Amino acid sequence: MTRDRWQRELTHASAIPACAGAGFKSQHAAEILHGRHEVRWFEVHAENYMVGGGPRLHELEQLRARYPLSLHGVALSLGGGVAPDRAHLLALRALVDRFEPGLVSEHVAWCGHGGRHLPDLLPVPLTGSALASLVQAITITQEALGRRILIENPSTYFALPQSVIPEEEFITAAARSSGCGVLLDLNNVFVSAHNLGFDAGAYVDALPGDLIEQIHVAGHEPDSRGEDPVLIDTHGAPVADAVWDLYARLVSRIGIRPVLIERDNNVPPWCELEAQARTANRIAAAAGTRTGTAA
Amino acid sequence: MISDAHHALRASFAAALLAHDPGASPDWLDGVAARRFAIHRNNVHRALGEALGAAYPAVRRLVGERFLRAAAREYFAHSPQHDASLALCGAGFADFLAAFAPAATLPYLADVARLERGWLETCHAADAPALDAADLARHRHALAELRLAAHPATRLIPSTHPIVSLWRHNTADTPPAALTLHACAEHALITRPCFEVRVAVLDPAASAFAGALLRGETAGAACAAAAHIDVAFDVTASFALLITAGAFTATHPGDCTP
Repeated sequence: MTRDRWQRELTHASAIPACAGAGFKSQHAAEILHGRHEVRWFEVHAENYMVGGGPRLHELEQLRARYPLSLHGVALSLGGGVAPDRAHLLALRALVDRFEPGLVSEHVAWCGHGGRHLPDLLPVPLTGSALASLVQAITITQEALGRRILIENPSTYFALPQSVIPEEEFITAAARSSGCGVLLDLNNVFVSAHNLGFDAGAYVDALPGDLIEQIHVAGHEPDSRGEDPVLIDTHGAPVADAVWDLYARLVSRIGIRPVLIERDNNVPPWCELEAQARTANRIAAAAGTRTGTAA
Repeated sequence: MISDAHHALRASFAAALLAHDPGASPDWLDGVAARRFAIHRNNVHRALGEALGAAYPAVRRLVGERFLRAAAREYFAHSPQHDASLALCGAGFADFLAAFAPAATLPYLADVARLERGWLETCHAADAPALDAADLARHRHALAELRLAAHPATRLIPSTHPIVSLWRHNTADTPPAALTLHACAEHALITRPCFEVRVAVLDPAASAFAGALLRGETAGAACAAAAHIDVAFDVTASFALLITAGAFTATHPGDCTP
């Protein structure tokens, strides 16, 4: 019942269309706001806009006046095993109220301890008690924001010895129990599968399509130090072909969803990101044609 | 309220992430996991270092990237980052640099950092309408008794070094090959009329005048403070500069068209 109420609210004019969007970077503002391009929605990191006022928020208002917006949190620490920070939730709520984003998402990760912020997405032990606390943290967040959120699967570099639940089951259970949706990051699946030695395709196939409301694709890079063949989720390279293959496989099964071209480092000229957005739309259209779903 | 599900895991991660030893990892991790723990260490320290470097671009150019990253590790070890938003990180970095022995050869560095902190606070401060010349004109009959309210974005950074010249030189996209410095004190007035941060140089008398007004003293008292430093102080020019810069808030909403 609660879930129905939240879903109705997502059908406002702010709704994110089921096509490719891009991360908004200030250096592309002129081309995005005033140029001609095919990208129909944008995503920003919520924490970058947790300031009192000034040009950054003004620029986001200009963006929001023209495009639907997705608000992507990177530091709420939903997977920390403790309740989300109240002040952080209030700051997030203020952004939600002001910018009316079509989607609000956060990571299954943690990023602080003892009042100290540790700016990374640190791994959650996949245990029953961590699952229970994650569900509570999502519930607290959804109540504080007055709306539904999406949770994103992490990129993982090594298995925690405490973990006993497969990650896809952990995320599915967290979403089912809390009523949230899933933001499936296909680059994270690919990176984690490579690093931990599981089958990325099987992971993607195992997540229920009705839970997946947004997709991320991004680039990764091998560890610069050499010997260890570990892949790092740097968001610093173009989307890899293997990640596009996972994308085609997913949309063939579940149909099209909003898909974000994520790029946070080595940010290229806008035309390169737009070209990747067109690639995503082309792959989705082709997959939709094959399976008969709308494209 | 959530019961703390994995406090011990978090505590051992945090300790290893912050340990001095670059090879540190929680003692319950071994083999590949212990080695790859360094990825998280790198992520944390790179994110903090990049955020501090972005907040202090002139300091970064003056000391170089390596020095800045090393200083960032020391700084955050003693001044933990509490805020989950890094937009305003590094509040105490100027004071840290003033006491940081490896930076002692650059006596102006801490004041350049103070200017950059002021710039960042100005950039992200709350929006408010600025007092304009027409607002001021309404008070022309009682100017000496006039008190004004500082705009939330206004910062005044005094220094005995030419900090504005140093800052401009070290934040320009293509700095001129050589910087000719006059060894004079430059006080920085940082304001944000509409949505653009502006930095103006004030001499010590104009700075005393601005400082007194920003603290809420009467214009008469501010004028006396400035005249105490320089008997030839030009109050009209200083008032004009402050109003054009948008240093005070209006009592009513004004236009703000960028």
